[in-house]
Amino acid sequence: MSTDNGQELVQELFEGRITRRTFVLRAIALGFTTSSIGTLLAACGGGGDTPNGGTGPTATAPAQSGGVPTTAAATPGAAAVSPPAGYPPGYVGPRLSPKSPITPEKTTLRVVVPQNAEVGDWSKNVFTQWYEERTNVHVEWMVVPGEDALTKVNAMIASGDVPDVFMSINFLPAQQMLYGSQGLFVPLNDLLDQHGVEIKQLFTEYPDAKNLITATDGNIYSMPNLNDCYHCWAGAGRMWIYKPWLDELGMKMPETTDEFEAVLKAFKEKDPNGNKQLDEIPLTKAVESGFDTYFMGAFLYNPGEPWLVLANGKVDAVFNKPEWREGLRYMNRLYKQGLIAKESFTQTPEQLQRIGNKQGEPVLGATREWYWGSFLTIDQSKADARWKDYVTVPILKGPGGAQVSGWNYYGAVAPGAYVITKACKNPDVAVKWADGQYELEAICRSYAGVLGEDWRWAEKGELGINGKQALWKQIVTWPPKTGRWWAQLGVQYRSNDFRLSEAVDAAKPTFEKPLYEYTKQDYFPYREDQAMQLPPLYMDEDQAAQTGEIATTINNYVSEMLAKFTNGQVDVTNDGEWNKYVSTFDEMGLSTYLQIHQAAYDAKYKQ
Amino acid sequence: MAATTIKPTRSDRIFDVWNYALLTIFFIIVLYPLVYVASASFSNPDAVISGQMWLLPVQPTLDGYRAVFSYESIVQGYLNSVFYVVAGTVVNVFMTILAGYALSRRDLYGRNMFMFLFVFTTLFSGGLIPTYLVVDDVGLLNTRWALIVPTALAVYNVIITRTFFQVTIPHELLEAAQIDGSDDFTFLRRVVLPLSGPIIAVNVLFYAIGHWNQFFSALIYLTNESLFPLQLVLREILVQNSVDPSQMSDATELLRRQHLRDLLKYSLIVVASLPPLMLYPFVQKYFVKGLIVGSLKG
Repeated sequence: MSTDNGQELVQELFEGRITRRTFVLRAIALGFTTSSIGTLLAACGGGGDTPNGGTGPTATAPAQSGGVPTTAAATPGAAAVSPPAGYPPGYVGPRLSPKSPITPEKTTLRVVVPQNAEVGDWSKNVFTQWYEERTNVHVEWMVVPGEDALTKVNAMIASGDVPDVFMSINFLPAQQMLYGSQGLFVPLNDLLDQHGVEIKQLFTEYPDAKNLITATDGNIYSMPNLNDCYHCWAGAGRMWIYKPWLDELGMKMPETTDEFEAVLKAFKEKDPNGNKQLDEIPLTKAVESGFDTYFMGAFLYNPGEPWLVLANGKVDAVFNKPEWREGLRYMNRLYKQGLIAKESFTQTPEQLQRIGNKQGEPVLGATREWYWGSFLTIDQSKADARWKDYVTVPILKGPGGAQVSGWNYYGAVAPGAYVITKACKNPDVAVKWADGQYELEAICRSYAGVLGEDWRWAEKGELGINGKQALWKQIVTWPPKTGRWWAQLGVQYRSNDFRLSEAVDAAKPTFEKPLYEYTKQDYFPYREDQAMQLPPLYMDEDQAAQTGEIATTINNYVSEMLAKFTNGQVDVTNDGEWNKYVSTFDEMGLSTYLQIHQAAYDAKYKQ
Repeated sequence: MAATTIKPTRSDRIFDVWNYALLTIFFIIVLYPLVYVASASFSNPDAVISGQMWLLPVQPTLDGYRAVFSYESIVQGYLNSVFYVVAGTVVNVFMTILAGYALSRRDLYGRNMFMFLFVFTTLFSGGLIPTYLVVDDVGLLNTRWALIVPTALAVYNVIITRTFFQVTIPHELLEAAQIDGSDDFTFLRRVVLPLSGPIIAVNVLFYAIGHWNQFFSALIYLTNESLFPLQLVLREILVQNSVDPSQMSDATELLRRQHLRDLLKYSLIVVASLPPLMLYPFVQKYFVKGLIVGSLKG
């Protein structure tokens, strides 16, 4: 075994003269063991081949000892490969693992995918080609238009013209149950056991994921797409406030409902923008956003539409509780004093943006929106851009002491993303082909484009969004050009740590970092207990049809009454009106509705 | 000075003033959205969103158009759509004239029965899945022909074409031609067609716009992206980029889509409406005439 030969070989690999497969075979021929290939690669500062023969940034990275050694627990015997700077301490998420072709002979899969302009032509896409070379699996793409995918998919199924795989069609639980029970979708339990590698690691690290993709009959009909986007889980409950006005008025960040009221009042009356006109809008929002997802937190746990929660294992609704009424009283009080703009219940996001972007002195004081982009234009290139002055208000503490921020524990896992049908002759290949997409390099390439051109591995000392050692870094501003990535389609394992391990460019900071920090500081600490959130349920066809109808009626009524109670069209202080409101739900079939949910919940979660 | 024209009365003048005023208002109502879209397509999207742009382009830029044509699928879709419009319309007009002419002849044996069969299909159809199965079985699925053959004839157009022939081509003309030794095809080609400019124009416009706006057949029958017409690509870009934060799990993605949508929205509309707008002036002078004549005695 000669180290010189080894170095030469690695050089060849980086310059693109030989494929990864040839490299591994020749390295073994030279006497390297599988694990020392990993070391060799790590020593030369790269976990992957750089395209176009260039010596990409990875090849010139200083030699590292590999940082924290990877455990590669899920692949016993496989080579341990690390990214150049190693994994951040305590990292949980996808890892590099050397992949050999899935089959020696070229195998073909027929895969249905949604049309996407960013992906471009699926067959000519750069990631598609890279992944075909890596797996030796050729894909015959059948593209269905994204928006009406299900119309087309139903026509296919009805005519018996089914593909091997449906990818990113996102079948609902009820559809999985239906097609699964008809035998059209293949149960994957055993296949995953036998052929899954990365997905087993995913299941270990996200134990909920396996539970969430298992149907009530105990079968797994789909492989999940996992995107654990930390700030998303509190997105519906974020309140934004214009910080300079607080400073101008000498007020501190409000913490209770009363303090918040006082702040809004000062915004309205004391002309904080200093233009000698009372043109300030203390609080508003666009029609689709809810005030309830923020304010109700000061009275009880509110998950937002469809407003169902678990109380000691019992499914219950929040909109007919006395605490809900207290919340409505509070919102009505704000409205009566003119602190909530009338337009909040009617204006479109575009209209709100016009208020947020108003030229000259800002007029928008506070707003209940998902993120800055929902109420003004985010200019990431300017240091003093207006969006940076809007900060979050922590979830308020109510008079009764409640302070709960709705946190979505189950949002990360999208079931139904990858389904194998009975038409598939090589289900093992189909499983391995999806499984390989959960691997770190595959994720980065599918999400961020070409290694060495669009992104690279981070160097030692570059910090990620969470302030720890970063794992990878974008070279071009995301997203990559059309046709070089998969536009977040396919199946991926983007764990929270993975997302936060993206290096932050100090020269070009994006809004990801502040969004993460605000969420961590103002909402995460007040999140509800996980046992209170109603997890996604697998209903059968009858249950789904029955609840679907009632859900529409009830949800519309709740939304309508939220607005009416708030603006005083219906008097919330009047007991008669409140009782009428509560009893209307009984007429709408609330008890049946809850019972069906309870049955579906018990069938899956109460063993 | 001798008055050679009748002096308009006071009430006539008032009528004229009102007339012009009203027509001007209608004109502006119709024109403004068009001008707005055109100007917005040349403006900086931020200026459009913040409401600075209301009539003329603000901070003029071609970014929107550059972004539109940076999508390979748009260019491809454009070419495909042009093909579908040209090929489809040729087939349509050919079939419609043949059917319309035959049905306009009083001496056609079983004319009422044929007419009944045609009209029957406008009221009853097999539905989506059976049609899909037929298209699949005859091997048209996922080919360009799937957008042309199943829609080769529109019964409504056959009816107006038939009526047009009945009204404008007198039976005596046929008799005269027959005396001169003409057969049916010669008569159709040498006598009927030269007299039928308006109805051909109407058919071309109807069919061409139908093909240009067509997306449902493509949505159902095609899975090969290189065959997708423009409308399908446009739909994908605009509809998928409509932003619903609660459905979106990622703020970066949200911002990207929002930006993309703002950038592309207006230039896409302009690009997609251009061909029909260019076609219209050429057929417009026949359009009203053809429609009115054809609709008589429907």
